[in-house]
Amino acid sequence: MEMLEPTYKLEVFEGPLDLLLSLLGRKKIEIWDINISQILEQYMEYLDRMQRMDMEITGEFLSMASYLIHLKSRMLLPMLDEPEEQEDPRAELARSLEIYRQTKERAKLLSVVYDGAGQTFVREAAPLPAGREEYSRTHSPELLKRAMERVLSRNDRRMPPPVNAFHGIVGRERVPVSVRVSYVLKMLTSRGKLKFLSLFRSVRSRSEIVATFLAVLELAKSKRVDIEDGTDGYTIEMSRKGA
Amino acid sequence: MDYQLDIHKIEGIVEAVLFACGEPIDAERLCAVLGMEQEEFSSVMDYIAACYNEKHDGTQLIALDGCYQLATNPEYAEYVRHALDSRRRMPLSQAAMEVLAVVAYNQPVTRSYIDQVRGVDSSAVLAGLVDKELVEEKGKLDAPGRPTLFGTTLDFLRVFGISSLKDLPEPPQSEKMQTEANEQLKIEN
Repeated sequence: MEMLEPTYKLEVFEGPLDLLLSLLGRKKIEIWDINISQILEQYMEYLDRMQRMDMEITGEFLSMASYLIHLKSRMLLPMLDEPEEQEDPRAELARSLEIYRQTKERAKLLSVVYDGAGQTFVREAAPLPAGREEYSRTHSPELLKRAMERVLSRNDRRMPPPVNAFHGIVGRERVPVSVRVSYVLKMLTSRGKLKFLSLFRSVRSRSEIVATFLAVLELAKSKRVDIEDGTDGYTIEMSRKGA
Repeated sequence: MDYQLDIHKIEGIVEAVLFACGEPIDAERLCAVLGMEQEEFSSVMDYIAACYNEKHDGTQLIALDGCYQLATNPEYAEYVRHALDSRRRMPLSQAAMEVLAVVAYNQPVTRSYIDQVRGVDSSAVLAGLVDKELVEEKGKLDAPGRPTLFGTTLDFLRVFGISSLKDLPEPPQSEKMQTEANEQLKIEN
């Protein structure tokens, strides 16, 4: 075994192609004439070491391993009815490796260009064209003063109208408690027993609600009605005293 | 107005426009601004750029793929960084350089093409390059799923100090084999 172990440092590769190129490079093997079983052995050995180093072996590495095994088996098995011009099964892998090798070289060249370029700074784009968003015309301050005077001269018209202007249009309805007392008594007379909440079903205003509630209290105080918990446990039932 | 007679004035206008614009501005727009014909313009623009750069040291008029931009002279980068309190630019990772190389030399390309060339998933690296505005979307490929195409930006040219993609360095090697291999991969892709 030519790889030494234990290893404390494992070279990190960008991916399976990167690893394969490195393995090939070490042995100076031509990309187009790869000894598949040899490279597979080395490849698996590397994966093994990755595993021992607790490195995550991504799906891409595993997929390449299975592809290499597939290639190896194809190389071993004799092809029946093999057409003369059947392409070398390794050609596809070789092409991928060649393109990746080229990409790596280009990346290296780009790095050189990048490092040599030196940093330039540019301005953020000014909001162009000026005048579309930013107001660019100029005016005399006198215009502003006159505008302000116009606003002030109109000011009285802008005051909210006095309350008495609404008299006769909008008003507060006053509901006397006595009216609601007779309403409650009338309801009790016609229905006998009724639920407290049912008294509020037909009310039209807050004032009416309050008056109705006060009427019930008034009637209870003067002992003219009986109030008890409803049979269901959460309603209040009322009935006329002695009814 | 006859700008042709006054190269000095053209230079002034170009400088003012580029300064206000900040971003690269394309030749067509500059032509329209100057009221010049495209051919006439391209013949003077190189001269104007040279004049400008001779007179000015701190800023330079740079050409980026048919666009023009004012940028600071890289020689003074250190001082500008100091003034702006910005750090040295981060070197790009090997993965980023690889993705950039695939995009720059083969653009426009899909993400799956990049993945295939590198043999690994490159989406995160690609997204990083888009964030850095070195790579941008360049429409959709007319193929099932309409995958997004990516290409390099004008900023990419500026950052790498080149004026056009034609200036990308090419490693010396057997071109034929590679083009064939590339074609094959593109077909499979």
